[in-house]
Amino acid sequence: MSPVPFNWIKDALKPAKSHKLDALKTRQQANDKSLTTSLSHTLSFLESELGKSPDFVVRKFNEDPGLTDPVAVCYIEGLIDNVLLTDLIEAIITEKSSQSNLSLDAQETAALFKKKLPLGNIKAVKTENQLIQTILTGSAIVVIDGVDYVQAVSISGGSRRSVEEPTSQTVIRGPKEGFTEDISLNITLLRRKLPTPQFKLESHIIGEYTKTKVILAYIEGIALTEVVDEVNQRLRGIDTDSILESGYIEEFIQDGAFSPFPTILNTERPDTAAGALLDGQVVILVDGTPFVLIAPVTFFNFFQSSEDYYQRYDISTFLRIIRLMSFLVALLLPSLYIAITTFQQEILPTTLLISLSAQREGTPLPALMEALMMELMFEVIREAGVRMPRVIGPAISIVGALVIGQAAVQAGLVSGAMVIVVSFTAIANFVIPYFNMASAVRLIRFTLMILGGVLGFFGIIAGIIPILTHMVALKSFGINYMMPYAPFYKSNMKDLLIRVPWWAMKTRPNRKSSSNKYRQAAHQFPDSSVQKGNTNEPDSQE
Amino acid sequence: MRKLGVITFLILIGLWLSGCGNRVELNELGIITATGVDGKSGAWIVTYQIIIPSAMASGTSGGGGGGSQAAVHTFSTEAKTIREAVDISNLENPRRLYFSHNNVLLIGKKSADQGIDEIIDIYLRNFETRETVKVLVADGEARELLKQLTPPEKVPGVALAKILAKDNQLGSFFPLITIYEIAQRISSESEAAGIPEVSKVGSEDEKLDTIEVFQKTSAKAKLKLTGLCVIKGSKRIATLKQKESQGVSWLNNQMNSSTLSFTDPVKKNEEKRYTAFQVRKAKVKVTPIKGPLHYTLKVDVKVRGELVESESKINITKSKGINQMQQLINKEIEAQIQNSWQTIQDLKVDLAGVGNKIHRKYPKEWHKIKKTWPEELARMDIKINVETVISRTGLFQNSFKKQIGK
Repeated sequence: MSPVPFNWIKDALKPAKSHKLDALKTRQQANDKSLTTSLSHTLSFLESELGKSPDFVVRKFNEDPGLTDPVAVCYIEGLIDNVLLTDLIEAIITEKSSQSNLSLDAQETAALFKKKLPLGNIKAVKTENQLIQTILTGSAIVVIDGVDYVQAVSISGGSRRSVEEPTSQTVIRGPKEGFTEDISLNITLLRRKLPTPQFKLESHIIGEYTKTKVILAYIEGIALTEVVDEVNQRLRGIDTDSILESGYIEEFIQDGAFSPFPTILNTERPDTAAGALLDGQVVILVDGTPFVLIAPVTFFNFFQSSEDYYQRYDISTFLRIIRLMSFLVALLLPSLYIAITTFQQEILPTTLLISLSAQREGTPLPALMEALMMELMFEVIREAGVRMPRVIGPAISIVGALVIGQAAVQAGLVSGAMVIVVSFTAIANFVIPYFNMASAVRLIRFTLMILGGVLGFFGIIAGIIPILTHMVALKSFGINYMMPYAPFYKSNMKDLLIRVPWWAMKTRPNRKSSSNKYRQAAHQFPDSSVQKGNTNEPDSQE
Repeated sequence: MRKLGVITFLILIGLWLSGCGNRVELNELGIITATGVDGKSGAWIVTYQIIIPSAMASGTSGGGGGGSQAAVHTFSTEAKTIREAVDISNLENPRRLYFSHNNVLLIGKKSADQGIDEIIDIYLRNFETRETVKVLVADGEARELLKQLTPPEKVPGVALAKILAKDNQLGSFFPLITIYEIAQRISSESEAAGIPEVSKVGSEDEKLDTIEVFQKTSAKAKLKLTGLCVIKGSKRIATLKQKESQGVSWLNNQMNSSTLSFTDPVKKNEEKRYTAFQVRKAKVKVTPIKGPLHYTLKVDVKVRGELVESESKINITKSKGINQMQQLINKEIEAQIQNSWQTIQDLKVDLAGVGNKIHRKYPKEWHKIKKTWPEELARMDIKINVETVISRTGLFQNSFKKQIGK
């Protein structure tokens, strides 16, 4: 017998035979020719490559072809900054008129242009392939007849979203800025938080068509070099036609490809990213998305909100515990309810049993079916809430609350206790700060519900043991997923279930051995008023 | 990868094959709150008090909720063995009888006379019947008492269990005893146990088996703990009254909290002046001491408590007065213990577990007196030593009666 449903897994793991990207690659290799000295040749090459795109603009300056060498500027409208473009064209016109009475050859003209243009980033481009790339990433190309290279002036700009408050990861206290789709702006946001030469960036271009800029950021001396090398290597291994979001990268480079648990964390908060860098993690920024990736991560990183470090430590500790409890509730509550009400009624107190069974009186479905129905109904409403146009928002909440809540109970379809269980589970699920961990919980919950409905507590345990085994075996870029507990690191306990006050947070999370281990100096307990004498004290009796 | 797939697939298939074997939905359960056993070996009558959940929960579906419907339904089955009787119940009852939440077990007086060993056996043998169930002896037939409602509590089984627990905690008149404790005691050297007895007291005419009692403010009859049934071996031999039972609680160190009333020393032609003392903490140490002829039971009682009511003439603002008061309490407690001890010796039943203590302390001698133990018990002396501490007198000191000069 052959397990047909699993063949696709096998296929996915085989090396691909033919590649549709290959055609694209050979074409680009053919284009990798040097440019000629002829301006008209270069322009016709650009026109043939870019087609008759309406946003491709060529501006020629050759009013007197007999005297001076013709010059042309070409760019793609919308990718460049209009103010800078005006500066560039003005400069070219003045330069050309001032050169018109000097008799210079083409090489000298080009060199002079490079000197006189009032813009910062000017590069010489020598091959056709490179030419296409530079013009498509927002540079203006200055072509001078008679030289075998063109000058690429980086004046990229155009309309971009400005820095706004993050929508998916909100805090009460803490910075309100979020990453944007612009990678250079995102890097700026990180640089402002970490103005230090140790903050290193490594650039990758991934995607045959999208040419997406992917930048690996880390702090030298804090991040483990093995991890940095590993991430670099995995990024280099990606060979695909497009990267449109950091989710693509995540799936290509993550450990445990079939695991429901995320091994890479994503955030749209620069402060979270900076905090991760200081903990020795690396950050992967991808152009075109406000979500940056953080790796390596442990299971418990998914329960640390950046706000934990801004609020007082006591409330942060309390919230940490609440979050982990919510995780357990979101994972187990429906399955426990099913198991208890259909198998292990003994463990309920008598009065609770009576009140539950009074509610079950007259409900048509078995508890498992009832729970599955309610959970699915909630998932549908939740998905509808995400997908539907904002305008219809209130409608769905009214219908959802009425259908799932009161009406279902009054119609006798479900018991009241089940509604409480399902809704509390749903709310507990929202407490988990990172959405991808919350999604993992959502999926595993259904499996556990079926196990609990089929075998009771035994089934739940039979489900939890493999999950725990899997989590202990899972690694994220060489770091154990359940790290501070398995293997046990005592020094990490200060930022796990409890968040110790900042003055006690002396070391960084001890991932293997980092050379730069200490976060701060010792003896920072705020006892200044005792030692130095408090001047604000009321007058003493003298 | 293929192997993993096959294994996962087989496990998944296997899961469904289990077919939810012993799955029982809540609305298929007949939750039993009290069980009654009458009859004798070979002809048992088992009575079940089943909760009707829809009558219990007010506010949910079902017109008017509780009030219009009795919260329990009681029925009986008869068979040669108790378990057979439980099986036969399926002939008349649509739900699966669920014993795990059984609160009390009522044993009919006649069954108790016949012997309760078979009842203990099924409780120890089967897992769904819990050995921690509280046991009562019914004054009369258990099946009759289980039909009685107990206003204001809706479920009589729960009410009986709560009465037992509250008495144990606050009054300590009768001990709370469970099946396994009975089994332990009657299989020990003492071979005796005391089970509280419940009876219907008051007017015979009052009907407690209809919902109408809930519409009255006062019922002329009610279920009440009235005595302590003495079991020797496995058979009932006598019933102690409340007063005698309280002394047994002292001797067994089961006194948790109780209120004692006592009087000032009374001279001729004087009215009695009562004072109430509430026991907060009591510790009783019972040690048998071997004497030249027979054993002596040494009882050391240490009591701490407070005055809660007083008519006394004694000046308790002085420590002398307090001492006097403490002496009076000592005497009262001593009298209670003495009273019970007298009954125990008359019945020749070792309710206080003295046999076990002698066995532990004098293992060799025990074997000599084991055969004649009941007679030996009747010959024993008792030496009671009570130490009472009045830790406070409440918010008031001398009695109000004394304050106004009477």
